Amino acid sequence: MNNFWVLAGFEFKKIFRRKTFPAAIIICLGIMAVAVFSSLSGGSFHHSVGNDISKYEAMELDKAVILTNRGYITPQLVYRAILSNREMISDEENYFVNEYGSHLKEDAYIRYILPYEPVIELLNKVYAEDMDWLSMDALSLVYLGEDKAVDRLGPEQAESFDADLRDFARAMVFRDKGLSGAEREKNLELIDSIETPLYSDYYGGYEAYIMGSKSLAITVLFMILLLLSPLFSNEYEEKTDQVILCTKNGKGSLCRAKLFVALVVSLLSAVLVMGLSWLGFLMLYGFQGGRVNIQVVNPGCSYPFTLLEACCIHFISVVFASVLFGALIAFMSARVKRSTAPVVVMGTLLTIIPMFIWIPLKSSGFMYELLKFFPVNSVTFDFDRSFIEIFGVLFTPYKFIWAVSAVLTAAFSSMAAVSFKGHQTG
Amino acid sequence: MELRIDRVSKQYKNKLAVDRVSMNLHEGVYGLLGENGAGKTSLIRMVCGVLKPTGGSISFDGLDVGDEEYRALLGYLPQDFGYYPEFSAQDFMYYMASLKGLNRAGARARTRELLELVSLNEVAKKKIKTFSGGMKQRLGIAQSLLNDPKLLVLDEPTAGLDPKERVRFRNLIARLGQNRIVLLSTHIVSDVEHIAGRILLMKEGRLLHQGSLEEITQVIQGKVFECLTNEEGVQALTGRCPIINYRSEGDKVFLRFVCEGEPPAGAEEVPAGLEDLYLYCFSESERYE
Repeated sequence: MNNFWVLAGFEFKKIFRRKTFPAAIIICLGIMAVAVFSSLSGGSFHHSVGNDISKYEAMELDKAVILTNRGYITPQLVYRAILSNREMISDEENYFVNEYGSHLKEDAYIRYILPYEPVIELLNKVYAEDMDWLSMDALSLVYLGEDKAVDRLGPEQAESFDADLRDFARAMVFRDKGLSGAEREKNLELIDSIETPLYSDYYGGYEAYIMGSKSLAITVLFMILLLLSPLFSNEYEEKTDQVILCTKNGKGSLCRAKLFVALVVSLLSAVLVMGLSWLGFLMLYGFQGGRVNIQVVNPGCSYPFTLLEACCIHFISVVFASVLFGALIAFMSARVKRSTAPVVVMGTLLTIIPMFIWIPLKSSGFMYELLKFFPVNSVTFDFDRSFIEIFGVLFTPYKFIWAVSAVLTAAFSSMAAVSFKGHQTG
Repeated sequence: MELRIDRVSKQYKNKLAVDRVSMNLHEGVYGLLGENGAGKTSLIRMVCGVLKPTGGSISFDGLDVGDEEYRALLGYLPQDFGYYPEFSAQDFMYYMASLKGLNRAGARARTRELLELVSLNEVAKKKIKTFSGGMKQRLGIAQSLLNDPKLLVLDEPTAGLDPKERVRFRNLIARLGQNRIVLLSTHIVSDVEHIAGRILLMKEGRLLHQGSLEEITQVIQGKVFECLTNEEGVQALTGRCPIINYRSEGDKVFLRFVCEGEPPAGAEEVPAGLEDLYLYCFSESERYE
């Protein structure tokens, strides 16, 4: 391999010895720590109200209550949840009144609602009277209205819940105006494959990870930008290109070694930052929640996944996006004439600008899908209902993005190699 | 062993840096002389394959400049190149050795040998950022020799070296030229005069003269004079002839100059040297400071 491994070792050495390396690591660790711990310190936990305890202790107490009803959302569980809510609302002692109106007391919430919290939140969404109050964001579906559907549910809903859940998901599909007929069909197929009864558990760790995942993934992209921008351009900037490009392995093995290092750095950045953060969230909140169906969090989602599967798919998406971004940065680094600065500027713009562009599906399906291919968008938890249609064949977006990312990574890597080999000194 | 440069040109946007230069080089030391902007560095970069010619071809024993085998036979010390400041001299040499295709054992042995040759063995493990300009230059020379090149291209190799080191390196380069082609580009005429078997004089992208010292200086033999004169004599000559040397000696001035026409009275013809030719060729534009 013409000293490939030795050269790769030296390329790692160059990265590790640059001043940007410790800076990137410190910033990254800082963001990871802030993301993990701020999720706890900024969280609101029912047991913290009126008790002089830490947020962590409050979260642990909340969790212990929720875990009492972990398991499948059977008709019996739904029934108990409806009854518990009915018992609560029938007793005025559970409420206090102030100038703003009547409010539920925290101890009543802990006693009647918290043990069934995932189920009751699900019921409020599935049986919401006005679907315009539903807001879908990342994996979550939030009900923004004041009306609590569970207050008017009777025991009969316990029996029909699974069928009602599917009806709700189907209704969400038909409300989506931008979908084609084939996409609707595909969504309905997916909804049919959702296994019921759903599984419920405490999923605070997964929820916190999902909430923090976008900022963590952007951190990965910026880390890659900082570490890989000088990959080729530093040779031009420091004028070492003259001596390396005229050596036997300067245009072959060295180029391959640099691209290999770019791939490894991108991959490791994604795996370590996302993996360690994920682990951090789970260690803080507990490892429960992996088996929870997405529909418990977002009943409007068509995909039959658990939270663990969804997080794994997202994790792989971040890895693919990071490797693609690494190859893109390597290409830009090889393409510039001299300095590293334009690579950093262009990389930053490429990361930031697509975040602020949003085109509704109903306006332009093509542009809507195209934007998903930018690394900064492909790292979003995206289990929406659109599919990528090519010559009448529907492709699942995340799988298609992985495939396209792999192809683009190979293309950018080849173009980086061509640019470096053809670089003219002076 | 032959380096064939065949009608090589390099055109930048609006400047022709090298204009159809042709030459065939064989074993020995070749001194490439020329003023700034004459096209020396462009020519050297094209010979080293780091700059693409606009026209013409370069080959070494039939190997094209773009071939990996060509690069395997090449050693290059650029005029102004960077080092990795955080690397030690030893690391840098190992890195260059792996780029040049040496195996681990070969890299270690050759690094030790060459760092000793350039007197950097004591500081082999020190970071390059702590090195002086001269030390960096010596490291540059050492790296260019790592693969025992058959074609050694040195751009200003003695720049930054003190006189003692310069003489040492001159001798080393002369020795290296015994079984390889050494192409040496420099501004220091005495370096070329001492070690180059053949001299290549470039001006405005063209090869003006080439040959041995004796052959090349034939151009101005009989045109170099020395005289002892006064200020009026100096005034009369300045602007008419290129002054090679000017030295005050009491109330008189010693002058060495090149004169194509009738020399002033009292001037004595002396044998021409390379410096005379260089100044003669390159002072036309400044006629004659």
